[in-house]
Amino acid sequence: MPNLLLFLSEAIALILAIKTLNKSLLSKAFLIYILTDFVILCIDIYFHFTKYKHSTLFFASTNTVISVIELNVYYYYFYNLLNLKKSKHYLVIVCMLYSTIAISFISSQLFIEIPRFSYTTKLIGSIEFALLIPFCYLYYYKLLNTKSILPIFNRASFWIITGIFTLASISIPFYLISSFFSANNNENVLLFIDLFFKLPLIINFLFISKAFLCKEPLTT
Amino acid sequence: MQRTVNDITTFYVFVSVLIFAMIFFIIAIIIIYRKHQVNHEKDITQLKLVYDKTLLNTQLEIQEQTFQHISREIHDNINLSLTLAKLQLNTFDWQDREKSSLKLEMSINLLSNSIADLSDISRSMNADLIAEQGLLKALEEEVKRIQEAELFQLDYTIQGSPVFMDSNKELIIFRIIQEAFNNIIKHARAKRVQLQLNYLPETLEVEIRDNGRGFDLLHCSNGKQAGLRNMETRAKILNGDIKISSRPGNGTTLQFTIPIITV
Repeated sequence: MPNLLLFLSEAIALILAIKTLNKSLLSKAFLIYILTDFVILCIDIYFHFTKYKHSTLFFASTNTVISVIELNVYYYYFYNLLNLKKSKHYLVIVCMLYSTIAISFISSQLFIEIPRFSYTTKLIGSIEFALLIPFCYLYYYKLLNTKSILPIFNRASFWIITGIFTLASISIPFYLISSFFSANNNENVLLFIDLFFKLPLIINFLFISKAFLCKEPLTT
Repeated sequence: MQRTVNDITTFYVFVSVLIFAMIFFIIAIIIIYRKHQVNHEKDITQLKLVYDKTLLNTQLEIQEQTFQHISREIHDNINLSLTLAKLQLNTFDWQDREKSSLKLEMSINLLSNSIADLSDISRSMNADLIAEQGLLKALEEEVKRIQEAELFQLDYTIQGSPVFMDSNKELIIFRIIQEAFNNIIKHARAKRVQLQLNYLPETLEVEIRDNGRGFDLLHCSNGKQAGLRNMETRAKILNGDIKISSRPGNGTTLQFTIPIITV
């Protein structure tokens, strides 16, 4: 059921991203992000049903790939939204450093067996969210200092940032402790994954869909 | 085993608190934003009220000046022409056909001039033209009217992509330009006048330059000062800036900038 909901939320976000696609790089970047996530989710569901033996490895690796795309897309979004011209170099350096480390890490798994690979990918995912959260707070700070008559729910940026903020805030503790749950063969592990990973992800994609429906530029 | 259960419980409690804190934080953001939005809407309404009031005052002032202008025109030109025509017709001698014919011709000329003057006044005062056809059309008519009078050579140029603005705003811009032209006609003794409108993405720049006798900005007459102040006030109402530069013998340049996008 949660997989179906996640599939539906991503499919809706993808359809709306295609429908509202324009010439801006930002709109293309979001489309790439949603499309990648959607394709990986489809493969993941397929592996789940076929009980593919390396599905955990696949899930961990693709999660890191998505986190790289996610960080780049959201940093580019923050750069445009918050007008961070002065911090441009910082954003580029962080993105490049994170991407290099994450990609090198999952590539090295192809050649050598890395111990606690799954846990380390989750740690990398947590770092990605930790890098996003300060900008969410900066956005909220700027939002409250903006003089505007535009209702908050008509702001595409509010939905996008709240979506990623929810996902990041809940996923960090999930990523850090999920290995503990799995290791203890806890009976609630599936419920735990649904509640603290899939639900925020569903919320994120539904909020992104709502942002596309705002009929305003994504940086509004 | 007991420790694991405790750890899991602690985790659930921690995450639940985190989720509630996050929900509370987002709700707080929405409420504070809404408060700011309402305050901002109030400010805008207040500003709009002040703006409308100032606009109304200016319109009344413009109307008053228009009446004065009409009164002056009627007194100085039309009244004079009609009085002369009346005199000619009063001294009309039916016996002296040659002299009478001359007088009749002169009277007809004077009446024609009066009709033309009245028509000019009517055209120059017509604010409906701006509301219906816009500033550019009204300026075109005004320029044509001045060119027909052959008082000086008038060049009129438009740069950029013209934008239609609120008709009240266009009327004020038109009246500033008209006031400038009136000043040139009355005081400048210019041979050449240039009117240039430059439409930029966010502003409209207007420049009126003449090669007349110019004047000393610091020591100009009260009437002239009042005229300049009127133009300044009108530009300020539109959140614009006005700059006048002149020196005796070196002509006068009037530049003003009006933002195209307003609150």
